[in-house]
Amino acid sequence: MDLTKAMLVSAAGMRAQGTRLKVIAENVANADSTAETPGDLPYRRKVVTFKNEMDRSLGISTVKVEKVGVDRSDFQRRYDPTHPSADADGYVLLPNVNSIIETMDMREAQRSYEANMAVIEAARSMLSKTVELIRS
Amino acid sequence: MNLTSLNLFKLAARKMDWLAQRQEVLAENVANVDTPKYKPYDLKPFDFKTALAQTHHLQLNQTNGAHLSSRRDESGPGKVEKDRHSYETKPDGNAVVIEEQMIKVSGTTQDFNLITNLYKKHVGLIRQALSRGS
Repeated sequence: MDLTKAMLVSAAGMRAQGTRLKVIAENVANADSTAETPGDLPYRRKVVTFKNEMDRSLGISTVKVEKVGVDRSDFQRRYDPTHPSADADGYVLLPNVNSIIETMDMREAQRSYEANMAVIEAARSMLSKTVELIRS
Repeated sequence: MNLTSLNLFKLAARKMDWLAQRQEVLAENVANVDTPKYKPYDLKPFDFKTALAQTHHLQLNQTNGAHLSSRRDESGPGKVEKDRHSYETKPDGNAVVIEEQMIKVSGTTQDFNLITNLYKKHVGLIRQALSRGS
């Protein structure tokens, strides 16, 4: 019976989505983290990528977080001459975090997590049905 | 008496193996729903012909602890193959559609329930036959 393996694969998926959610939380929390001095750069948005990997100890392919990369897109600029990191023209660089994109990403991670949860639930019900055969 | 020597129980056990393996494959698909370039897998459908062919299936003998059991697609009763009839492919090359996979998961669970109930019924039949046999 390989149903425990099915649950382990789903658990790996949930762990990967959990890491993704953690990175999203980091992005949202740092949405206003500007630099301290004029020359420095503000917080750069982080992005998680997944990959399919063979787990040799289990003999099944699961999902893993490949790496946490950074978003290389341009920073936003805001006119605020009183800010400590404002440049000579009075502009401040803001992180390239877009709260709408982060919310979208968060929802997607949540849905994927729920889907994995549902698969675990299905595997669990199948396993308990098998165990119930003893009582018949 | 061994229950698995009865064809009905043998078939039920094989179908349950197949369903369990399918659940494992579907779990992998759902876990990789956001993996770029991942293509979903599914098992070859369980039918009479393959079930019959499996009865004559030979496996490599393992004489040493370092021997690998067998290849991935031969590990269970079903053959794992790429699912070519997926609904759509996302821009990142991922072809897993969560709705499609969930339908398959619930279908597998339903089939499993059916088989376990049939199994129970047959055990009941045998028990009845034994109890009235005085």
